[in-house]
Amino acid sequence: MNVRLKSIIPHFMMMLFGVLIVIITPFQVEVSNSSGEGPRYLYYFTGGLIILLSLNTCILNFIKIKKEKAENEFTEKQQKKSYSRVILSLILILLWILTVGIVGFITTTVLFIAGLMLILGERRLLVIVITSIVFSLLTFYVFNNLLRISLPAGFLL
Amino acid sequence: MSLDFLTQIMASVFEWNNLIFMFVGVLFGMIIGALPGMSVTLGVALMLPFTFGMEASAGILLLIGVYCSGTYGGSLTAILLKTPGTAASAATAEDGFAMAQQGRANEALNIALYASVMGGLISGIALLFIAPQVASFALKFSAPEYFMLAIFGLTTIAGVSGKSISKGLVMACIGMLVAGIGIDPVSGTTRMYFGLNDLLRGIDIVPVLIGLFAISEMFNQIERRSTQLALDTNFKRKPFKIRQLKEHVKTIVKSSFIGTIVGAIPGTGGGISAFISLNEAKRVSKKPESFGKGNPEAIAAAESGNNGTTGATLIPMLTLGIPGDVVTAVLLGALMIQGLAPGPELFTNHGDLVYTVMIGFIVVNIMMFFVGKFMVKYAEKITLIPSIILYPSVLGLCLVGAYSSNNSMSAVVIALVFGVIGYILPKYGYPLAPLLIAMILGPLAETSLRQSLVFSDGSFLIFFQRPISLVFVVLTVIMIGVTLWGKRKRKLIEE
Repeated sequence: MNVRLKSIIPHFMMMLFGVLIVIITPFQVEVSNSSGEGPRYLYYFTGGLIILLSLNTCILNFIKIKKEKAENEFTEKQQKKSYSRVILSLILILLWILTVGIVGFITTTVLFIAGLMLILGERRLLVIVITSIVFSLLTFYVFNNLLRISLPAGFLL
Repeated sequence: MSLDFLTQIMASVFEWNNLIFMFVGVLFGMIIGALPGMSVTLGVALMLPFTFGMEASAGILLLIGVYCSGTYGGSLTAILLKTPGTAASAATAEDGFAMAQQGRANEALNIALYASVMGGLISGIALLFIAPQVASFALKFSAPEYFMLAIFGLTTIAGVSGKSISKGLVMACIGMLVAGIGIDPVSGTTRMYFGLNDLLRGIDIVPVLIGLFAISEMFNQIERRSTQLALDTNFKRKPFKIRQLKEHVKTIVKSSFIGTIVGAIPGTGGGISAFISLNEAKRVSKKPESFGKGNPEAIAAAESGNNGTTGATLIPMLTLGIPGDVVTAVLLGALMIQGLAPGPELFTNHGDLVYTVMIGFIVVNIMMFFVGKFMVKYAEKITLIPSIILYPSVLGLCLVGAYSSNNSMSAVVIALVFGVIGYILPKYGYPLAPLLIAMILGPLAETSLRQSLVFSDGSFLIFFQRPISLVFVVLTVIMIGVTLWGKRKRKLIEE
């Protein structure tokens, strides 16, 4: 894809976000007879500003950027390799969020920490087991017992 | 104040039980402040029940210990893990973490400690000697003054936006949009909650902080495959010498005064003061481009600015019975539990207690220095922990911290969403600090603007007709002009 076009895509998406805000404001921001349009002004103002500023950035980027195709391809390959760990970590966090209330804090967190250590490349079973169990139990004790903050409970620990 | 009275107060402050409770409060507060998701308010609220059976002075001094050191404690994790424990420490995170990665964690932690203590001491002295005068100034603030103060605070966005002010302003707009979600504070109608009850109460700043700074940074570290936090693995821990502080004294004193003035105004707080102080330090710096990349001056400014509010927020509470923020509201509750009514009569009816608290505040800050020195000695070792153990632990702590902020999984989801935003957007040049600043100041700006326009029947002249508001208008124009001129000058030099 043309480098110039690629450089403006994020800012174009931001501009679309601004347009979305302006469009959905009348449906998502209630007004009453006494308030008038007051509650909506913030969203119209900021949405409009996002549109204008993003458009400005798109235009400036389009004018300024020079073609760096070869360097960008190399950078892209390198980035794809590193992104996979990040994506896996994100999926693991989502699984933690979905299961912690069902399974229980300690069990889910042990599995979460262990899973994350595996993603990061740790293969020593003893280190994984000790770290995940110690962290989960310590965190549970500090928050639940010392700070008296109830952590999610489930059918397991 | 007679010599006998002073002797009586000093004897009260230095009673063994008061000293022990101050120490407990300082230690507890520092740990709570450092933990992501744990706010100073929570720390003070957790300690509140313990004060029921105590003497009034001991109970209040315990809570003040938690308050002061909790405000400082947020800088520990802000510097070491880019995980600000409190909103007030967010301004420290960028430069502090950069210094930690350069193997200068010890220097960063020490500067934060000295700056925080000095900020606290200066505001404590203001509390002791000029509380009534500061209180009467703070009373003059109404909606127009609050609006212009917020706008003045928002000008710091230009300073923290990096190369592109446009992108900084876009992020500020997003911050204001996010802060507006929930119930409109003026009309009471709902805004952008999409039918989700969890969004009806608004988006709390704590999970946003955790996501934007901590979770996103962990994603960045995982992407970079770094093996440990400190990139300079061969650094030798250089003992911090007090003369390293000499070049930052002017900044610390100025930022402490900024913190004292901002803190005395009800409804503001350490976060606002920290960013204003940081921006001011950057404005007068000979190397403003080094801010954000590990400049100790930034830490000195932010930390003294944020701790400079601690004594000042007690001024309207003690003198007028007006809590400046949620923490002082809890402190107010503690006083009332002890059978004391804050306000002008507190000085006449319980003068000994009031002065015990004021002098005790100064002692708490001195105690915080020694406890902080101990913590700093061992805390910096965190940067040497292998990533295999550290990153999962930090991510786990972030998730638990986000959950703890309001005992709800929705806070964890918010933290994760902002973690993704904080990870992706900077790659395209969008800075994160403006989003946070706008979330803090945006609601104040919007509410006070709408209230002001109601007072003035829609006329914007109200902001120019009131003296304090006019001063802020002038300061804002000067600040914008100087910042833009400075950026233009640097751009010309680069070309």
